[in-house]
Amino acid sequence: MKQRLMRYLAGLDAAGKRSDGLIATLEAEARQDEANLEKIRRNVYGIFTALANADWAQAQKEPNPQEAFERLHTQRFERFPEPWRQRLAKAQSHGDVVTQTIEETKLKTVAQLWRLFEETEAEA
Amino acid sequence: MNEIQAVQLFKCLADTTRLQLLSALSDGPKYVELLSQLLERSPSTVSFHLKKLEETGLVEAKKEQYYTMYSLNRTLLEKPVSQLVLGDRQQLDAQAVKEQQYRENVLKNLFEYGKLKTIPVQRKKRRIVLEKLAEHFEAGVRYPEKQVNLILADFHDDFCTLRREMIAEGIMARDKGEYWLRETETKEEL
Repeated sequence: MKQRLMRYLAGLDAAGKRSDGLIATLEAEARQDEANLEKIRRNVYGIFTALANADWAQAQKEPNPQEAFERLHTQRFERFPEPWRQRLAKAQSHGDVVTQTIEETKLKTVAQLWRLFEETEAEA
Repeated sequence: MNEIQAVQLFKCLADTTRLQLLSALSDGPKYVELLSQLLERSPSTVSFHLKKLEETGLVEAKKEQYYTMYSLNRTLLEKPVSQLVLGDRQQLDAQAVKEQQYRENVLKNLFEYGKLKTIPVQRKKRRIVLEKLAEHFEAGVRYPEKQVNLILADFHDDFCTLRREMIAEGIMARDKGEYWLRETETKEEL
């Protein structure tokens, strides 16, 4: 199970590094707003890395750490982005394209990380 | 165009994608999906940039059947840079610029989609909010309390506090259940 966590964290780390590279490229091309959107993605990778580590530590306190980590981290994917979903719905109803783009970026990144989490389970 | 607007305009232009969008629009109006293909950017990224260009007045949006067509605002784009930098814009003194920026920030932070998120405790901020709300009342008109409540309730559930604060701050006056903007009163007295 620890191996699965390590693979998941490695995936997050790789995504973060790709993001860092893209941020540098976009800034060099004077595409600051797109670089800022990429920084949002980068922050989501960072947040989910911290959450995965916290969930792993919490899971060790439970009788079945493997099952506990699975449950705790799956809950994160459901609950953590909820305020982003709400802000997106609000932005859509008010035609606020800028906020919409920002919230969509966060939610797409979460969806990407969910796929990564599922893939590491399949490999386990 | 004042100094703040000029700065916002130049900031908006300081982006490669936005310059490419303006260039793509130079031969005629286009919709998001087409611009997305031309620039090889996602439609959401293109919409994001178009919104910023629209906010500074560089492009205009017009609904046509199923699409929103974007076109250049040539009146603004064809102005010489010298005119924007030195010319016809209203000169604001540094203090006025600072004050205007502060007001804009306060209003941006406290209002979301036209609703007041919270009534600020700090008097200076509360005053700015109340002055903003006062724009929704017509000068010279006497409003019954019920109507004042209805207007203020559009912005915040605690319309009673807002109404009382309007009086306490001297923005509105009240007599026999009627409310009016004090500005009018002063002008009439003069």
